[in-house]
Amino acid sequence: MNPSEIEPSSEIGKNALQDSSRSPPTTIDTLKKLQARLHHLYQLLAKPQIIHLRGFEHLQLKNVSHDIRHRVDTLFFDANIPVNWKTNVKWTHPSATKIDVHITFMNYVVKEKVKEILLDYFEKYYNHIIYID
Amino acid sequence: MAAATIGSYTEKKIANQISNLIKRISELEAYIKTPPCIVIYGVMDIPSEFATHDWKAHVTHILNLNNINPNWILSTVNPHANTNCPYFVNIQFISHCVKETVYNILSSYIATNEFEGVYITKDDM
Repeated sequence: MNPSEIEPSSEIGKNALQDSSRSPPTTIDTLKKLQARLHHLYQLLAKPQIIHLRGFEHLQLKNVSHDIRHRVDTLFFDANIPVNWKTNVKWTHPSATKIDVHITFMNYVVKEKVKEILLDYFEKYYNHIIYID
Repeated sequence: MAAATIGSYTEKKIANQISNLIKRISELEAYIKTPPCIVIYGVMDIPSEFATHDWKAHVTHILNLNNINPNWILSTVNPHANTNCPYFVNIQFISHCVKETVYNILSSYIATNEFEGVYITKDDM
């Protein structure tokens, strides 16, 4: 369940919201912020952790396959990233020549580590013509 | 008067609950965003052919000896970058489950071999 949808079940939580007209605005603000942070935590834990590679068509890999998945595997191999850290690869063609790749990872820390390694790799070999968002 | 006292008591209680929640959420955020890690103290006292000259090869050798999958490791950090023979190393893992598994394997390895001055810790909530 999405934490932002959770209704307070405890008596204290109910009172806090029922008495919102009497409570100082800071309490309500704090509760809203807490709810937002809980929602963000939920996103981190339950939603797929994805990076988007733009400019994938510029990659000059030794082993060029027509299959984008194989090319992502080769990129990971070249950048010294274990291929089994990713859980899924999807791609789109925003135009005839462009390829945007979406790679899903098992969790937040793995995604951040891969981003760090790939940014270094792209900076070193591709001078930022491929980028991550 | 009594109602005001009860109201004040309830407000304090709510404030206290909110404060505890903020603290707990901060802890959880840190837990999710920080790579799970273990620290091996006295790591260079574990005998290996690499122990005296290459800390990274030495740590890799220990992990290999215990059949620990290298893909489970996010990174191995020597906090004393200026030395090749660190007192302790920090090993970061891809998940908390993996960290727990490796911790159990290495604890058992250290206990079984009775390496003097070697011990292991992990981050916990």
